[in-house]
Amino acid sequence: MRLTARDLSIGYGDRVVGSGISLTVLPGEVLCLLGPNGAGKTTLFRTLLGLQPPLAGTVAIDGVKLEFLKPYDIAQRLAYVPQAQVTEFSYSVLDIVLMGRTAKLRSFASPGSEDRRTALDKLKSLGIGELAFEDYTQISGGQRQLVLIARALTQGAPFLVMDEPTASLDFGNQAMVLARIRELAAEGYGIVLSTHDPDHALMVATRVAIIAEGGLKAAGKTREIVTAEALSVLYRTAVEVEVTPSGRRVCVPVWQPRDPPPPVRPI
Amino acid sequence: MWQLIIFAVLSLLSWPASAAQIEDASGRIVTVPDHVGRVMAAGLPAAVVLYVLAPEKMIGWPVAPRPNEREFLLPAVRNLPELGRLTGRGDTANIEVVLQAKPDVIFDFGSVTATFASLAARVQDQTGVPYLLFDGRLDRAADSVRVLGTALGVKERADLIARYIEETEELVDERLMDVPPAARHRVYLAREVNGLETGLTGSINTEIIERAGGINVAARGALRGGIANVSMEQVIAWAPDTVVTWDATFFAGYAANPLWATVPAVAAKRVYLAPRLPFGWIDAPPAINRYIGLRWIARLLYPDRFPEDMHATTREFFKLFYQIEPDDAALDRVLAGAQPGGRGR
Amino acid sequence: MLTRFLVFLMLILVLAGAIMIALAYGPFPLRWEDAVRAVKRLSGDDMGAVTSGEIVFMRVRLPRVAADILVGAALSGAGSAYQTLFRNPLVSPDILGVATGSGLGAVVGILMSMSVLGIEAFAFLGGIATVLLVYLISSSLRGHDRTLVLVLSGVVVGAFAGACISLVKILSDPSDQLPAITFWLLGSLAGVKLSDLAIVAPLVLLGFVPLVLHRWPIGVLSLGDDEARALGVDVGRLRAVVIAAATLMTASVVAISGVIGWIGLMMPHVARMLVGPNFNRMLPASMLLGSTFLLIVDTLARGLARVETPVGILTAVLGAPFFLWLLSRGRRSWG
Repeated sequence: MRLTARDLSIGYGDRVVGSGISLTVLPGEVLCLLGPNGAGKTTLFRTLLGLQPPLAGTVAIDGVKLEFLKPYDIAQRLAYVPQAQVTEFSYSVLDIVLMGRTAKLRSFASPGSEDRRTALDKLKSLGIGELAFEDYTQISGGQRQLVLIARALTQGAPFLVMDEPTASLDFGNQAMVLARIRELAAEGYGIVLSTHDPDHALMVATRVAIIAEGGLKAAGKTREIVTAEALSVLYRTAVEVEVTPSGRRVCVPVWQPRDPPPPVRPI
Repeated sequence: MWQLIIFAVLSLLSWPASAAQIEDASGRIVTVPDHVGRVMAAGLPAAVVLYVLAPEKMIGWPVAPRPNEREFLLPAVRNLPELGRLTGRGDTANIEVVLQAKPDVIFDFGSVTATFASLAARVQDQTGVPYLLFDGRLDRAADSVRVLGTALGVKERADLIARYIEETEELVDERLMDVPPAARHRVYLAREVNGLETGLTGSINTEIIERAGGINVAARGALRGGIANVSMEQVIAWAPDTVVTWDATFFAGYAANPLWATVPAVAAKRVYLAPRLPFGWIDAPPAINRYIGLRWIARLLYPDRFPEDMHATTREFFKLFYQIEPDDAALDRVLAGAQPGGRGR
Repeated sequence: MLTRFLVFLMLILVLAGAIMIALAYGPFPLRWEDAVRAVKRLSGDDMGAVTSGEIVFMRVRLPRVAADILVGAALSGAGSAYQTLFRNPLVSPDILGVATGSGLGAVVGILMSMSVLGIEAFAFLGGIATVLLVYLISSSLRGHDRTLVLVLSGVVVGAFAGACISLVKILSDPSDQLPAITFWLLGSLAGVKLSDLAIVAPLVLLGFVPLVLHRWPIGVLSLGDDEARALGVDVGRLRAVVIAAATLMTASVVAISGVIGWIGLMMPHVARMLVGPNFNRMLPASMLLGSTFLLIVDTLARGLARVETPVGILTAVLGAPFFLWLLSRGRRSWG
């Protein structure tokens, strides 16, 4: 089982957003994409999921190119956790999660009791079991994000593609989701996620890829890529990577006063 | 399948003891019971014909007559209920109300295109009441009246009416035979309040004018005959020497309009208000009521060829057709604004 | 679960009640015996001469009631499918122009003085052709949001068809054809026969079946093209199927009933309020509601005055305030 992108050029029409991108994701791995806004992370995700065709290069799952797979087949291998948005209609949380079972249903079937059980389980595993019959449009943004993660889990696909899954979560929920991501990797899921926060990469990622300026700037093991120099260049501000007493690595922006205060002159 | 069975059974059971097979204008063979006592007219033209031929068999009006019209209708008939029109689509009659009135026959006078023929067949299917369709055109009038008379069991009266129609047509044709085209009057029919709607040549709305020897200025060219909206400029260009209208508002107001003053008919004081009682004399509805209009227009345009007093002609027509004998005052009211010989405004 | 079941039970009972009322109510004093005689005659008994009551029952009321049920269900079902497909609660079955196109077909048929069957066939073909044109136009236009492109094409083609209808009206004979055209465009089930329904019902069924078979993925479509595709739905193909099915249902009934508005827009809303936006439940609920509503309104249309009122007028006159009342009950969102 492997998800590979080879020499990918991504973009729309004649607008190339990124090129020369190659990556591999294996089960049990967490690949984190770091990069500034507008660098093309979402476009890359859409291309990996087959939602838009690559301008050049290929995406393949286990050697089978995406262009030869139907959406139904792709969905059995890749699950998408998009940025949470409000839907037009007031579906219940359970309805939303059940939609994840679509790729597991036989033709013309609807979800049954087995599917409902799975859905409820996944909701519980993320700590939001009690939201099952709530109106999806009325819960908080963070809760919506968790629901979408539950949906992706319900899909039962071995690879998860998550677009900034912690973006709208509070500190506690962020920690919870990151922990859950590590658990999922340990359970054998292959996960690709993007994040703004390099600390999260340090917390969960086995591998990191930096997407900036129209291409893949670097890719490799987390510790090798998430360095003070790389981050400083990437985020255009001085960043240090420090090791806490408990042994965790954290990213620390360095305060830089802009101008020294003028010396006080004695009269 | 069951629908076929029910239809077959119903047809067999509703086969009257004695009946006539009538072929109507759409070519359908319709079985009409020998004794027809209750008849429904599907539209206003048909109602006029029914009133003329067999008022005793009327069960209602498609559109109720207005109060000033009722004076010129038989007392027994003038207050019959309004049943609505029943042409199949674009109709207002409630089928259940129609069935409640229990007509023996329904008929219509008007268009006999495929649309209306199939609509007639559908209504007949739905109600089980024989539905006859007759051509409303002027040149078919006498024939249609005779066939309808046979169907309704009033052959003698139908014959009487048909003969009047034929004689009137012959009379008019004969007297107009030697009127050269140059001497024929150019007539414009002004409809609507602004007078700018007219009937094109050959339309059912103006055929009586054309039959009476008038030349309809509104040539239809490549268009279908029918109603058209025209501009004031067009009317002035046509320069009719006679204008006929039945819109009282237009008649009262055109003189004050400087644009109309440039029309020759207005300058010559040859604008006439067509009578409308009890049914329109030129149109509205376009049925056999127009034969008095034929005499009226002929006299209007060529008074020396048609010297008979209009009052007398009208009286004769009303007595024969409508079975009413109005007094002089009533006749004056009917003919107000309509006098030929220069008494137009 | 139980409450949902009860809601459906209530909808079915209300529909049954509406059917009873519609069959019993009308200007003609229909008696129970007439209905019984008609039924007995159907099963082959010799009942003697046919009473006018039987004619009214078998040929006037029964076909009309059956037509109301069929037309109401078809329009509501198509409306539900389109509102879900286009993710927009303000969408009616005519969004892609099927009703306007049917109207154009019908008025051209009237202009050409065709038989009623010809007019109905033209109406049907007009509706289908219009949507086909919209679909082809939107397919050839390049743009990201296929849904938006479809809707815009539908609006444009629909407006064009509407202009053509006005043109036909001007060309028509004002004494014969124009009233027929006007009446047709206002919608009426006055002259409907059982033989009409025998043709239309299978067509509606033909459109209904794909909607039922694909009910689950259709609901998933309402999440948006990207999410739906990522969840495994073949969005392009399913969209074509839904459009074809809804168009078939709508064009078939508009051909016999004329343009009856509001039902396809309103009933999906009411259904959502009762059973939620899940398409599996919303589809049957809206169809039951649509049949019931049209039954009630059409019964009024034929009973309100001595003459017939075109039912399309009543659906709007009654529908608009009803809709406002629904909105005023303060639903926070449209589902």
